[in-house]
Formats: sequence, C-alpha cells, structure tokens
Amino acid sequence: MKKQTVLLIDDNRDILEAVQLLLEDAGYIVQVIDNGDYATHIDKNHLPDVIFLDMLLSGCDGRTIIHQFKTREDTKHIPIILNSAHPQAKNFWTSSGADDFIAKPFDIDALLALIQKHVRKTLP
Amino acid sequence: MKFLSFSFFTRKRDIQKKKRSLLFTKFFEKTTRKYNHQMPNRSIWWKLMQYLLAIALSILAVNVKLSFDPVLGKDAPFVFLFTAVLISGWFGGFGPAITATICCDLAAIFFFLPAFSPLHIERALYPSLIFLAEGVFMAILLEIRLRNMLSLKARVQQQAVIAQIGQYALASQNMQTLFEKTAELITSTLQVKYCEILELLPGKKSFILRGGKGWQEDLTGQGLVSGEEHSQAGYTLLANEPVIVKNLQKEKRFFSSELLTKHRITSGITVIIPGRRAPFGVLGIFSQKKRAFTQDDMYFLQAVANILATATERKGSETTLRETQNRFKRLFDSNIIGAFIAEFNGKFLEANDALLSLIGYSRDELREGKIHRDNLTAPEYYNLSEKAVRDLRTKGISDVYEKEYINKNGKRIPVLIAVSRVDTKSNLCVGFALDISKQKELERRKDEFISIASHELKTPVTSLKVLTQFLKQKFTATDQHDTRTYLEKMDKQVTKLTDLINDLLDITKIQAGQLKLHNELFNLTDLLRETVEDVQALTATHTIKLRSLVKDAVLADRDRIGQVITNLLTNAIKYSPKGNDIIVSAKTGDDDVHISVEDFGMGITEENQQRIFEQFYRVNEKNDATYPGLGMGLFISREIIKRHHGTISVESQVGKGSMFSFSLPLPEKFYEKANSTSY
Repeated sequence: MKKQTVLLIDDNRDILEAVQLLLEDAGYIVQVIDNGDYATHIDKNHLPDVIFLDMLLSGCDGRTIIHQFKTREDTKHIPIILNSAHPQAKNFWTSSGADDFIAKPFDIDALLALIQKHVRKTLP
Repeated sequence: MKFLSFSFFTRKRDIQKKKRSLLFTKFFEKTTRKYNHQMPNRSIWWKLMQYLLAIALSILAVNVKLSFDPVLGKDAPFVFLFTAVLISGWFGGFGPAITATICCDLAAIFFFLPAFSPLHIERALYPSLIFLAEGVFMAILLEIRLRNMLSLKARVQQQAVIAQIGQYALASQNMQTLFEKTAELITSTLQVKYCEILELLPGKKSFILRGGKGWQEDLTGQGLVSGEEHSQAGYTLLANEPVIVKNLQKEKRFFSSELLTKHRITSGITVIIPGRRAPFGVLGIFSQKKRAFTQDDMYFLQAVANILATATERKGSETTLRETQNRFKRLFDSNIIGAFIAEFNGKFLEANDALLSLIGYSRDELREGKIHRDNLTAPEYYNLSEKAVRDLRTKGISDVYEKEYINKNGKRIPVLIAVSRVDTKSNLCVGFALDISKQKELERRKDEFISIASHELKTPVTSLKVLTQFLKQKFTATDQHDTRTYLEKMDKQVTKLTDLINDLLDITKIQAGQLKLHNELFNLTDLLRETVEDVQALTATHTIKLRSLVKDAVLADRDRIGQVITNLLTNAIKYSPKGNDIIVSAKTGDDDVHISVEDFGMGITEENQQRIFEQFYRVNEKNDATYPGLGMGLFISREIIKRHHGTISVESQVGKGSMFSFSLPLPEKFYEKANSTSY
C-alpha cells in the first residue's frame, strides 16, 4: 500500500517535531512547513493527502491559508484539519472552510483517528 | 370718733371723685371704642392756643350779637354764641367748647340780662342755665367727634404704613435695611421711641437684636436677650400671643431684660414674628413713659410682624433656592462626566463642556439646535436609544447602557449612558454620558492577552502530551510495564495541567465579563451520556448511574454545560473517597430542566454550603484531609449556569453525601428569562 502524505503547518517547531514523530511512526509521510508564505511552499509534484493546519500562525491567519488551498485547482480537494489552542476556536472553525477541527492539546489516539478518517476519504 | 368719721367721709368722697373721673373716661372710651387709638400727643402750646381761640371766638360772637341786637331785638336767638362753642369744640374738643360756653354765658348774663336785679332773677337764671346745659351737651358731642376723627386718621395712617412696609418688603433685597426702615416707620406711627426686632437663634435659648430703633448703636447685631420664658420676648413666644405691658416694673409674668432695663423702659408691646417651622423672633415697641397701649396698637404691630415674617421666609427660600441651584449647576458644570438635557425626540437643549468635547460640537451648534441623538448615535444602537425613551415614558428612568457616539469627525466613541426624566409632566430628560474608550481598549487588550496566553500555555502542553502519549504507546508495545505506568501518570498530569489552564482562562474571562456562550439546540440526555462515559473512563472506584427522563432539546452552550457536568462529577468522585455510586438524574419541569449529581460521600457542612460557589473557596477543615484543586470549579460552574439564566444549588448532609442540582430554562422560556435577568 502506498504511504499517505500529511502536510503539517505550524509555527511551533516543538509541536511539529512531536507530531511528525508520531505520524511517521504511524506510517505516514510527513511534510512540514513552519514559516513564510505557507501555501506557496507546497511541493506541487507531491501533493499531500491531508493538511494538518494550525489556526493562529505568526504573521498569517490559518483561514487565509485555507482559502489559498481551497481556491487552487490542484489542492482544493485536499481535506484540511484545523487545530488551535484558542479557547473559542471550536466555535467558529466551521466558517473557516476547513474540513475538521481538533483542539490543542489533543490526544494522539483522537488525532490519529481523525487523520485516518480523512485520508481514507481521499483514497481512490 | 368724730375724727374717724371725718376721715372716713373724706376717703369716701375721694373714692367717689375717682369713680366719677373713671366713669367719665370710660364713657369716652366706650363711645369711641371702635377706633380706640392713642390720642396724638399735642404740645401744651397747641392746647393753650385752642383755649385762647375759644375765648376769642366767644368775644367775637358776643360782639356780633350786640351789633345785630338793634335789628333782631334783645331776645334774638343765641345762634351766634352757639357758633362760637361749635367752632371751638370742633377743633379743640371738650375743653375749649366748655370754655367758650362759659365765656358766652357770662357775657350774656352781663350784657343781655339785668343780672343784679332781684326782680328779674328768674329771667336771667333760667336762660343762663339752659345755655350752659346745651353748651355742655354740645361739648361732649364735639369731643366724641374729635376723638373718632383722630382715631380714624391714626388708623388710616397705620394702614398706609403697613402698605408701605409691605411694598418695601417686596422690593427689599437686604433684610437689614428692611428692619431699619420698618423700625423707623412704626416708631413714628405709634409715637414711641424704641423698637426691637429680635431673631430667635437656633437652640431657642436666646435672641439676637437684628434691628430696631432707639437702642445704643453698638447693640444691633448682638444684644442677646434670653429666650427663656422669664424675659418678655421669651414669654411672648411661650404664651404664643402678643403681650401688652403697661408697667414693666410691676410686671409679674416675667422679668425685664437687660436691654429694656438699661433703657428705662416702662411700657411696651411684643408680638411674635412667625416662621414656617419655628417663629423667626419677636417684634416689640417700647416707651419710657408709662402708656396704655391698646388692642389696635397690638393688631397693627402684629400686621407688621407678619409682613416681616413673609419677607424673611421669602428671603430664606430664595437663599436656599439659589444655593440649591448653584449646587446643581456645579454638578452639571463640573465636567467630571458628560451631562445634557434633551427632549424625548432627541434634540439636545443643554450640554456641559465635557459632553461637547466628547462629541466634538461647539456651544454655538448646541444653541442652534444642531445636536440630535440620531446624528450622534451609531445606527446599530438606535434600538437601544428607543428602548431608553420607552423606559423614560414608563419608568421615568432608563437603565444604564452602552452605546457608541459618532462624534463630529466621524470617530466612534463608546459611552456608558443613562437618562432620567426631568419631571413627570415634561418631555425632557437629563442624561449622563461617560466616555469608556479607555475601558473598552483595556478590555480589548485583555481579551487579546487571554487569547495569546492560552495559545502560548497550551503549545508546550500540546507537544508534551503528544510525546508522552507516543512514548506510552511505544512502551505498551514493548511490554515494559513500569515505564508504561509512569508514563500514564505523566499523561494524567498533563491532562490536569490542561484543565487548570482552561479553568484559569475561564476565570479571567468571567472577571472580564467575557464568558461568551455559543448557544445551540442539543439533546441533553446525549450530552449527559457522553460526559458520564468520559468521566467513568477515568475512575475505576466509582459507578456513575444516569437516569435521564429528558427528551427535549435544550438551548445552551453544549461544551459549557458539559464542563459543568464534568466538574460536578469529578467533585463527586473526589469527595466520596470510599467509592460509591454516583447518580446523575435529569427531568423536565414547567419552565426548565433540572439536572442533579448525587454522591454518597462525606457531605458538606451548612456553613460551607453557603460558600462553596464563591471564587477560590475551598472546603478546608482542620480534621479533614485536604483535596487538591484551586477552588475554581464550582465558581465557574455557577457563572456558566447564571449566564444560561439558570440556577445552581446544593443540598448536603455531613457523612451522608451531597446533591448538586442545576436548572436550565426550556428553549421557549430562554429569551423570556434573558430579558428579566441582568448581570
């Protein structure tokens, strides 16, 4: 079976590292973007199967990135899982255009289940 | 014996004489009682002149009669002689009239009758006696006329004086001048030398001489007279009626005051100057000579006192009014807070500088009527303004509410505002507006801080949690039992840390008034089941039983209600350490749903039941073991339930267990309650 790719976008390296470790252990290919113009850093030759996106990024609102992905012809089908430590985030993530949400801090079981769920959707 | 009888006789004659003179005076007093005024004190020369006039008139009359005798005959009527009596009496009264009568009678006997002829004794005597009698009668009538005339004159004069004082009191701005003027007028009218206007000092123990006439000059403004009943003024107040004193030395009702003794006062009248609450003081007139003041003098004086009372009263109210006005003007102009007076329709009539600078308009623009609520208020707050006007019409006062003004430059300024109707008849209101830009900015920053802080705190926790759980997973696979147990404990601590961070954030938000609810319709029983399952998963010692009869959906913040139930369940577990059943039940009432969490643990004392919902309060008894926690859970729960317009309470018995219950309004009642509760 071909390995699925998860794109992690977060401005906190510690979290990225931990989640990357977890996901690679679980058998995913993990791409990481931690700064800059997030959406343009994407590897067009190897598009991810799921994007795991932090909502509050330094210098950029997660919602803008969702918009960028969802308006691009080649990326708009990719499910985006939004995550945030913001106490109110779970109340307004639906309007952001993301496909799912998980609050920080999260249980790894819940996270793995969520990613699994969305990866399965993109399988042919 | 003879001597005795003689002396007795003399005494009797004396008494009779006195009686006669008394009778005589009484007669005049009675006939002229209606206008019984003190006769004006004429000088002795004036009286002498009147007697001389009477004699001269008599001589003139006799001569005239003599010159007319050849024409009219010797027995011609005595009309000329009577004319002399009449004229003398007309101006001089009884004395001059009698004088004229006697003179004329004597002249008649001498000239017209053969006085010394014994043959004609009857002819001479009878006409003479008749003339005398007629003269006396005429003299009496003329005396009465004169007295009445003078009384009337005096009365007219007194009334004129009262009118004058009244006018003066109306025009006068200065009470002292009014007092001096009044003293001047009444002393000249009543022809006395002394007049006192005493003001009763607070405490009613003494009077101060506010004005008057005749006294030593330095006494005005001080001259303390005792207010006790043993002084004349004090007695007047006590008796509550005017007091007439004929002879102060012989007075038995009270003692003469120092002021009166010093000026050798004998007679006088004192009347009360009334006041609305307590008498203002006493008005008095006095004379050194002994004098019988009459009732009419007293009435006159009382009339004057009443005018003074009205004037002082008015002056007092004017002063009070001015003081009150000044105070309120100060309140308005102090510019501590924006204040305005506006019509209900929104037109601003008055505004203080604070308000004008807040909204950026000039005073001229205010005068031109250019300031209107609708121009000032940001459109989204129109409904609040309209509600305020409705409140004004119904309750007379609006709630304090927040809205935004748009100032002249178009800048929005958050204000705290309240209006109150000026009075029940007018459509005017007075309002206050407080600029709360700074508070709003602080609130915004605090909000921002909360977001950042929560983000920053949760970020390391997130990676910690991921790593711990990842490790735990690894070691579960490799069968390293001890390591796995430790990691499990670590994971639990991380969860606790997360909960603490969330609690702290909640408290901060509650204090900032920013605990926002995201209400939705959801199935309560589902939520209860999920929560019970989650909590049950964490405890092996307790069994949580759910008995929910609620089928309806509730309108609430699902996560927040879940938080409350979780909190109650964890408390129930924490405080029933022996491990027992915990019963969660829910049922629907008329207006709301009731949810309760019951444990069979240690229970809570009466005193603590009152306080456990307080912020940071922890049950902390000497004999009890202490339990971990910050004491925030129940406080947060209460705040969450309060914001849902529900109630939360506890019933407990020490040693038997506790039951925490809360209620949530049914969706159809939710908005009804929301309107009636405020927090």
